[in-house]
Amino acid sequence: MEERTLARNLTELEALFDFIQSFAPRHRVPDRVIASMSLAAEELFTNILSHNPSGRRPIVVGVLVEGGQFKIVITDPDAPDFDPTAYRPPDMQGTLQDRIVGGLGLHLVQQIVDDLVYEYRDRQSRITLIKNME
Amino acid sequence: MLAIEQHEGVVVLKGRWDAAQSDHARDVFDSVHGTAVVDCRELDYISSSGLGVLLRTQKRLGTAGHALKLQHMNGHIREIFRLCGFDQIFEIE
Repeated sequence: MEERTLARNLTELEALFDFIQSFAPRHRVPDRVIASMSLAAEELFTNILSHNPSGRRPIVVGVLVEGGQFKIVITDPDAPDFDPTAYRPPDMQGTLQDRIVGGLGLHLVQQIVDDLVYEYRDRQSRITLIKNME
Repeated sequence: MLAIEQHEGVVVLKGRWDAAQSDHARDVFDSVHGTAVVDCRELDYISSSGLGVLLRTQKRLGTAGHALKLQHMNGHIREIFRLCGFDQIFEIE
């Protein structure tokens, strides 16, 4: 797995995308998978910044290809326990008046990836995004 | 990076609209007060942050009988809109 450390700042999104897009072609990850996983990674990164604003330690992003799957692992070393797999989004089919602004990011993550794994121990949150390359 | 051009009822989006771009984008869309076309021909990427700005704008315009009309979205972005049910609340050409 290749890893990159990101500061807790939205300006690091550029570095996140560059990291994914430099790794993926070298490992023959299809463009559609790169696009989808870049979005999912951004959504998780921004979610971490929003919901753990007091976190001080950098976020670690790892990427790997394993068993025909492209995986992105996002680790927040000092985080509250929040399981993205258990998130229930608001209604996506309501009328314009009914729709609330918010809750779209994790919904997109859940829809985009083929699997989402959450691990939490000793205040470290580790989320693995998995997408099949076939 | 996201570039936004605005002229005569048209907002042109170019590049990548990620969360780091949304403060600027929000300022632009807050200045839209009537029905406007959003030209997405050169929009490569949008995340939930951008979707939120568009939704907030659409809700505001909707109270006055106006709306955003989205044009020339690529297939990936269309799919993102569909996953969020935005194809039901935006006119997409």
